Amino acid sequence: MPGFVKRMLISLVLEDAILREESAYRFYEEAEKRAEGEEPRRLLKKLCAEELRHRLKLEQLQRSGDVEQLEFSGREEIEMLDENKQTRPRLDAGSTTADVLNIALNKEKQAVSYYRLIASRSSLRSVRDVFLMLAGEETGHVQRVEQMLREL
Amino acid sequence: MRKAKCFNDEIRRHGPYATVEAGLRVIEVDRITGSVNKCQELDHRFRSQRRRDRLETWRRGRFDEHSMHFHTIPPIDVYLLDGEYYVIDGNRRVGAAKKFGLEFMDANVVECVPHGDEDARRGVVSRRRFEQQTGLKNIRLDQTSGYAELLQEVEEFSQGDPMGERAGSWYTGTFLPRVEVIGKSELKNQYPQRRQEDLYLLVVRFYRELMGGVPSEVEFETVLSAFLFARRLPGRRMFRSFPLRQMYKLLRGRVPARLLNNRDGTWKID
Repeated sequence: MPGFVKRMLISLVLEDAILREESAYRFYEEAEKRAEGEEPRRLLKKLCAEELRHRLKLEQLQRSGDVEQLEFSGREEIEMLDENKQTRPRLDAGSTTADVLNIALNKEKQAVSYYRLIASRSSLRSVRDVFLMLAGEETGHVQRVEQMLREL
Repeated sequence: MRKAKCFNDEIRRHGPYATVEAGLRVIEVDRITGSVNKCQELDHRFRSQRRRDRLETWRRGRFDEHSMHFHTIPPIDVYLLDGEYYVIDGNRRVGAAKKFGLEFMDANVVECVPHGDEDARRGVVSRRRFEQQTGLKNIRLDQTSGYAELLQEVEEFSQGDPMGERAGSWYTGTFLPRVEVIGKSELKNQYPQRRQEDLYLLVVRFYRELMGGVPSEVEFETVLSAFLFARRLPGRRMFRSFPLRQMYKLLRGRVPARLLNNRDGTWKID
């Protein structure tokens, strides 16, 4: 896909980010019900709450009504924007706690790259600040999930 | 013709009961549904079904539309049972209030708590504690257990200020605006029968359980939108409407870089 450019309005980028956070929230909500053990369950509930908090921040930013067009180019960037090409977190009946955490880890890593990309493309300070903060928090999630996987 | 409810018939169904003085408060006229002594004579709008003599005509005629809206009417006396009010004294005033479309009126309220209804008893205790500590007497909840949660909210609000001041600020600056937002929201459309105050409580409970409290750094509209999503209730999101999704697809279309003017970045497509 070299040579292709994608332009998106910030409000639509934010809507995409909100959809991703919603998907993550549902994933953790489901995972919490299935997880075995008090510690993983507590972690998953905390992650669930944080994904909802991210959704709140993104929607608040969307409500501010800032207008900007972001430009993305190159295969990697465009694939990162494409929801369908991202790993959609799904759980099946036989998923163990380790499976759940591995899916979560992958999802969180994708979220970090996605938020860093948006932050690097925006010229609006409010947008950059929120996305960098979200990237930072998702990095924290990665570390917590990795630690939990080690402890299992 | 539908008649006013009879307090005696209703209380008989509940069995023995205790009464609690709730004091002077503003009550909703719509919730005044019965009478203690005159239920046989009144219809559901508190109009007398008896043939009127001159005295009765004069007594009812004292309350015209002007006096109902612009003069202070003495408070009526009522029993409160199961969320409905039964008039002890003031049937004519209630008749006039219903006739001229008043929403609220002052009343001295005595609450009836059936002995067998443990939830109602707990609710009364919880509400009285809330009212005594905050001085706020006009918050109505159907789920009376929620007063304890509201009290916790007031206690956490603007800590350091005296309780009365804090409660007043919380009521006018937080509670009322949020309840108003709920009244206009999709949540109210989903539960039209439930009080806005009770719906507020639902939202507070959800966030308290998940995050330790309602996030204060974002607008309440945003908080409500996330609640609707989390509870799988339909919400309105402009960017997910059909025309905008179509536009979105169009905008997401990939544009070959060769079609762009490299100097100023403008589109080259005709």
